[in-house]
Amino acid sequence: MLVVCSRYVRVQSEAEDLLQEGFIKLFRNLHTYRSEGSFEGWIRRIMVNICLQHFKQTIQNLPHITVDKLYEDLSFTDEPDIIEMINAEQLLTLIQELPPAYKAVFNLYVFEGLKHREIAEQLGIGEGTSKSNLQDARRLLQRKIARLNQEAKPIR
Amino acid sequence: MTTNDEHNRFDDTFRQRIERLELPPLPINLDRVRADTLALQLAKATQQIRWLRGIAGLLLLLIGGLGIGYQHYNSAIPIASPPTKLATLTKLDTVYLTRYITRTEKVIVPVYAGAHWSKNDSNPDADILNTRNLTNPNSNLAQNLPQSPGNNTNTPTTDEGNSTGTALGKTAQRMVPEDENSPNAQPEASPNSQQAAVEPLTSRGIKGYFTPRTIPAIRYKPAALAASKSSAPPMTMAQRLSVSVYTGKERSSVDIRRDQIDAFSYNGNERISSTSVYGIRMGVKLTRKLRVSVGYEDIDYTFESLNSQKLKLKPELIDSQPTFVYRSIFGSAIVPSQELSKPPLLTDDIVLENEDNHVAGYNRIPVTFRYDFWNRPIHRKGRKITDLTLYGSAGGFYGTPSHQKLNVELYESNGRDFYTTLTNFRNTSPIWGWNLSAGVELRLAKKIDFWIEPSYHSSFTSMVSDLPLRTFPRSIGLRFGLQYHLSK
Repeated sequence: MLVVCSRYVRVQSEAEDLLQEGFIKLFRNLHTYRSEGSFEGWIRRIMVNICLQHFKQTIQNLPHITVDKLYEDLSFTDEPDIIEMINAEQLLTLIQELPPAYKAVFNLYVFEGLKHREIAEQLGIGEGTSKSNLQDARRLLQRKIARLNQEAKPIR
Repeated sequence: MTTNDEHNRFDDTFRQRIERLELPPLPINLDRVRADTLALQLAKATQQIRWLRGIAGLLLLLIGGLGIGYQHYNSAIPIASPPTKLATLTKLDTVYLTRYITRTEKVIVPVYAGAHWSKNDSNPDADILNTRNLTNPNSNLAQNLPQSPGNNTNTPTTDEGNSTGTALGKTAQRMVPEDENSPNAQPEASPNSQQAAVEPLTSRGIKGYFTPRTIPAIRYKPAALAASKSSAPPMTMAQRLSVSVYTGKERSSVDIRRDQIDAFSYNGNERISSTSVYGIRMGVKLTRKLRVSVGYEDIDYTFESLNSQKLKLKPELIDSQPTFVYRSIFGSAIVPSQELSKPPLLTDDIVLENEDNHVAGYNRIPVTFRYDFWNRPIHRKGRKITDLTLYGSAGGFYGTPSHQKLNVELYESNGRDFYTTLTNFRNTSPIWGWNLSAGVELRLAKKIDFWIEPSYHSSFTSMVSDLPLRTFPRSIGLRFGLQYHLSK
């Protein structure tokens, strides 16, 4: 569950706080579990909800960053299989470094398996916005991976 | 490979590689939590079942009591065997009445005292009257006393000795011709008892002489007579039943217990401006003084307006939907999203203003035991005009929330404002409580009574649930109503 929380925040200590908060909520609401679906899935859902609440509370305090500005410092690459060469911890770090809005959409779509309509309802955004945020998140991740790859290549 | 396939491959790679980082919990830990959850739910269900059992038990007792009472008093027709027992009792009465006659024998003794005066041919009363110089109008009577006992020709005055006590003792035995046939008369009239009866004559002066003439007014009720007094006829079922309709006003307050710091973010005025009650109840007399009643009450708590206080609301995720929620100490109300100009976003906010009083309605089922501790007819000019009864009652009640209403004005961030009524309050809970009251009942007509009673109600469970706070209402009030007896 710590990994679930880590995907939604930047810092590990924040993820640990969310995990703790999630378990407090879990134990306070144990009596509301209705045995519909798996117990693990229910716990995971609580953790995701806690992370989304945290996201909503923090998003208002963050400075507005435009996508263009984010693209400025990234050079384009078309190497498709670079991702295979990066380990899981690095991939998690890349996700954590995404802007909060992209991070939320990417996590909900890729890891929680929600549709764009559901993501839009959850986050209170439009369906189109969800789609474009996902595209932007993928593009950002690809470019960051490419940059990592460039840094890792020996200088000839 | 299409763009979608590339995206899917990209996503799958992320998903698979990062999910490998996750350490699944040990199955034993997960099983333990799951077992704890089930145990918790079982305990909660057991607690609910216990309450239900208690209620069912009370209802069964009530129904059983009614049934037994109905059967008992409807089958109270005399049958063959009881009269035999009654005849036996009659014989016993006769024996006791004989003893009663024996007692009256003592009354006759002073009559003989007059005879004693005639024998000595001197009037001790005259001396006493002269020495004390009394002006009692009875003094003439006192002076004439010797003539009266002298007329008693049956008195054997010459055969007796000089000892007054001895003469009285012997003569007393002859002075009871009516009782001579009674087997109990002789042993009772012993010389010692005669002596005891005469003593007042010689020691009390003139008053002692006159007292015997008033003794027949002695009030003596033999125990056998009291025991044989017929008991009140049994009440029929219709005589036991009564129905009351009533209304009342109460002065209520709420006791808020904030268990967690989050509780202070819950709004709402904690002052109840008024409480009105309308109810109906049915009573069954268990005995002549004890009655149990079950009723149904509609009660409205009206909380004071917050004097146009404005609250800023942020959306919350309810059922995966951003929703504005007004959190109050009486439950959480959802602001109807369809009345907003656009579906709420997580970044939106609205301002809510209390426009009116907050009304919370409850339906209550009281079960009350009443005891009539004072009951007297009221007379006027010698004629009974009504009956007055004072009583006290105690019991419990179960209340379930029926409705809530709060009129508010909402200000959206785009400048639009509108009025709406919040009704869909959540987190409300049934309440259990107890009540005490005392009252006065006055008969208006043969079957109709008017009653008025001050009462106190207090709940010992919260009217909200699953919130970081608990709310307990209590009230003191005055109720009045009419009671109709099915038969009287």
